[in-house]
Amino acid sequence: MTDPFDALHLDPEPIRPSEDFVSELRRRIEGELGLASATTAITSTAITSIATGAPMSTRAPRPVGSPAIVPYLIVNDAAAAMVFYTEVLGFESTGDPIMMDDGRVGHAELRVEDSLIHLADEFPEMGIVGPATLGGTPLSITLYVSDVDATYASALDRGGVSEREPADQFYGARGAYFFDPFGHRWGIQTHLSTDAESDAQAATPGHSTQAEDLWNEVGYYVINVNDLEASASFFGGLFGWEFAEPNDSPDGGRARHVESSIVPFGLHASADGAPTELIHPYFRVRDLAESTAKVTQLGGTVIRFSESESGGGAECEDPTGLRFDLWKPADGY
Amino acid sequence: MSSREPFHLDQGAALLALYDSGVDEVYGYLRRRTPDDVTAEDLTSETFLGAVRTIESGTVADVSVAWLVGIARHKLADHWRRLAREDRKLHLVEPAEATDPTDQQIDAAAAHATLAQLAPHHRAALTFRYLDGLPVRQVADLIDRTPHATEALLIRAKHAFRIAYGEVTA
Repeated sequence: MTDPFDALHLDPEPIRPSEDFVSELRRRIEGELGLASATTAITSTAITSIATGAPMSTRAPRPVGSPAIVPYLIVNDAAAAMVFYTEVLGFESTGDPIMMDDGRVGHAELRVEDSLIHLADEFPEMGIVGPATLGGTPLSITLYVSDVDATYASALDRGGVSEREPADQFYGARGAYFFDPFGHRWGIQTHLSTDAESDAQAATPGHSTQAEDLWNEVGYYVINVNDLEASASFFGGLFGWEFAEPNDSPDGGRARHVESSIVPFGLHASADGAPTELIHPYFRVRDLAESTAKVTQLGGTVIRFSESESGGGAECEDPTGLRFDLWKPADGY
Repeated sequence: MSSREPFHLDQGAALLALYDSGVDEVYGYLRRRTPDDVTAEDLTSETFLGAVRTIESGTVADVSVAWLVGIARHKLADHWRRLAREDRKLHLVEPAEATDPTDQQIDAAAAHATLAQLAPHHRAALTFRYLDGLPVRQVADLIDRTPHATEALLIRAKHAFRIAYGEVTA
């Protein structure tokens, strides 16, 4: 039997929008793609759609592939500097430099990964001079390299002057500083994975991003709802929360963990009817047995123990009947 | 030179060419599912500007009209979500019971007029399921619900449709 609703089916049918709209949108696409000519450059003013309120474009005009900041280095021997930067620091030339009649480099561009520098010889007649002439530099350029020690050794071997030998730094990198033969100061760095990052990564699939010493406080909570999907859609729309896929909770209900929050929590809908409490807290405890014993001792009740990927839990009631969970987090939670 | 740049430039040129040949199809798809030119134009803009951003992220395998219509569907779903959010603030109305006119053949013109009267989340579900003919799983992805919740929504949407359809054709 056919579904009577199949009668609603629409075959594709092109419709021509107004020509004004078509040419205006084309200009905007060109601008977004960075293909805009000087006369059609898009400004960085945010444009907002009137009907939908969605932001449209916030990017400043610049050539395709160019970062927003480009250091322009002035050196007293640009040709030699281009060799040093490519062979020692791993830059690549993006094309032939612009040469002046007197043999000086008027402009050159070098790339490394997602970054770009511009480069030129000194033009003292125009007030453009490099650090060697100035006798120093106020600027330090940070460059991430895969092997600080190797790059540092190579730089010194090729005429660089050491300022600080390679060493592991407190901020989670191995770094070294040197002046290149033209007087520019480089801070080369190799980023090391930090403890904080490892902890964060370990916690990613789980529920807690809390510090090691967060004990006897709320480490997780659920908001009880009548209809999981309806409330996820409502609160997601209201606050921009991002949800994990729904999962079964130990009490037979369904839950959705909120992935975008700082203090971790989730929504929960029980299998057996409307919720009696809005918020249900999970207190992090070091020792579940010790804490549950204390609950009983203080006149409370331990209702049930549970075990899940995120650790061991005990649902409890205080002497007045308020419900809460004690939770001994598993590693990484 | 960043390694993905030539690829992304190529695709940018391809998108512009596709814009010239395909804007009518994207606009046509959206115009027939929205009540006025302005909404269709806004969603067409969002579709193409979204396409540019996707291309720049370097993750597009196939720059084609079908890909653009897929983006347009997501923009339409977002649009209805925004409307639904505004609607929910205004009223919460459950339709009354009525006889089922869809026992007979549905008249397409009356059906599309009916659809325009439904709440945005019902319109979204019915449009993707029946006007576009997508399977439930794909509808569920577009409207960010589980397939199970989408089935339930479709049942409620069809119920609301039947009532409104009765009023339109009465």
